[in-house]
Amino acid sequence: MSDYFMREAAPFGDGVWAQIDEMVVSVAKKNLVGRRILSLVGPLGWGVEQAPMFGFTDEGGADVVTGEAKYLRLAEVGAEFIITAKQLLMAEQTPFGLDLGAVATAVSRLAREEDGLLVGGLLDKAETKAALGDWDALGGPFEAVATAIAQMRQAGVDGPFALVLSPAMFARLASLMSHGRRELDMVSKLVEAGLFQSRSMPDDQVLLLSPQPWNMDLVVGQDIVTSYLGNEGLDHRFRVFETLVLRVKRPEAACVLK
Amino acid sequence: MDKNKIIALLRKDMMGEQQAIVQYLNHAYNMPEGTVPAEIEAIAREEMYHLDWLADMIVELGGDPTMERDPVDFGAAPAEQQLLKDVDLEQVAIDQYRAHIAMIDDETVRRLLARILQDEFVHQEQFRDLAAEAAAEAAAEAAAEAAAGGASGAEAEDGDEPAGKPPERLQALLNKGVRHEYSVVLQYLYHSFVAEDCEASEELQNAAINEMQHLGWLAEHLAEEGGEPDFTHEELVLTRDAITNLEADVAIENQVTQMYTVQIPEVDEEGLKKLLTRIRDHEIYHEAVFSDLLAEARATTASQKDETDEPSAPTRPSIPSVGSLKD
Repeated sequence: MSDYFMREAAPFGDGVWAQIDEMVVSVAKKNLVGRRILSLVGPLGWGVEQAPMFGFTDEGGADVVTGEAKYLRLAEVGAEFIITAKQLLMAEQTPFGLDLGAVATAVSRLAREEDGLLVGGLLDKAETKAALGDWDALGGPFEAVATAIAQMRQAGVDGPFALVLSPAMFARLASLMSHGRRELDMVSKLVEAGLFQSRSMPDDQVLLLSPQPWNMDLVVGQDIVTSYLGNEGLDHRFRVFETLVLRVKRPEAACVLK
Repeated sequence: MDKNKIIALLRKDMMGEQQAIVQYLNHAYNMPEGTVPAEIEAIAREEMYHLDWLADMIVELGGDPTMERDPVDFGAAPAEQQLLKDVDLEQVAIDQYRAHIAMIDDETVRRLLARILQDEFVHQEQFRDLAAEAAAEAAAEAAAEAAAGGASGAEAEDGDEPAGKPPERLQALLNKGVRHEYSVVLQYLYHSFVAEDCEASEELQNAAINEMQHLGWLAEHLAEEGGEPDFTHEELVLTRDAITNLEADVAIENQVTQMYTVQIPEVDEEGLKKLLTRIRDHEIYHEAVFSDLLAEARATTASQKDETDEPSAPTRPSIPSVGSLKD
């Protein structure tokens, strides 16, 4: 396979690449939230630039897939980092190994950007709205989520459901407890597809999803990969990037509680 | 006697026991609180033991317990008449058990039926005594009213002031709960009867007992408001497959949790709010327990099957990818 990512041009061998790649995958897995919620289609390859999204109409009881597809352009998100020649030398000549802090920071940034794209897209496209209720009172979050679920079921959207909230909202939820009964446990029972924290969520909203693949998914063209951009003097520049697009096929399967 | 014929007779006995349970509980709920309804409920509890024993015997013989019941007389009447109906129902049971004991030649089954029959004799006697007590009470109240010169012209039932009907919405709300609780009592009992795993069987039976409590609380509340509890059950999931049964149990607990959550704010009366909240919280607990049992059942099934590997995704080049993180 041709080396489109110019990795062979980097001034080190497979061993160092393996360390970088392992760090990239490890940090990405720890930080990414959207991929825990949505089904993933792909990776389809860097060459795939668009993903089709088919709508459907309900014609008197028979759901029909229409012939017309809307095509969504995959976006590229990435972050760059530098490994200096001195770092590479230290890794070779000392027991300290290669410092991969810059790699981890860049991947964290990339993960935030991916989640921002997904969460932002879901918030933007969500057609169902519900009241947030009082998240400082015991019973408040449970009622709000249960009511929103009932509303979605009434509209023909079935579970399992997932809940996405900001770390601050999660902290509010987690702090509600009385006589050993934790509100967090109660709410978790309602959302069988999981309860997720995302920094991309605003602090005054909560997102309730029915994240089944027929409702929404994530199309990945090029999965997260590190490419070599070349050297600038004794600094070696790399770009960790991916291409992806969010498909919200049924906007009513996303509910914003506000 | 052919085993299937024995099973058929025992199923008939189960239908009779369930009929008795529902009739006695309905009578108890419609009486004001006191020793009489408490004694009726104690008799109903003994009938529940009979139901359990009969179901266990049917399963042991390789049969399927039934959750159907013989028709129940829900007609309203003064306490003495209700209790005399219960005396008659016990006589029906006594006659049936006598006949079945005569027909069945399996010694273990005969011994069980004889044990149950002993109880039915005692129940019949208890109901006779309670009916006499109710008659005496009614007579004493009538005499007291006549002496006070305050006969209303309308017959008092059980010494109660006639209750008005509850608002239709409240009746519908409470009966939704009654029907649900009755349905899950039957469903969980059946699941406990046929469960092969002892832990699952015990947990299901515990849940059924808790649901019976819920049924009692809701039915009593409704009766106090002057309403009629509706002892009809919804569609039941009755299979021999543990996973199918537990999936249905988890689903129904989830549904009913949401039902009660929606009902709580619709209710004005504080006492009823608290009751529904308490019931709702129990249902959340049941769902958690059933979910654990389901996970265990699935794990057991998975380890018993040969696992076939799913075809792996096309091999990537040497660069590792992140891929999906969804469970």
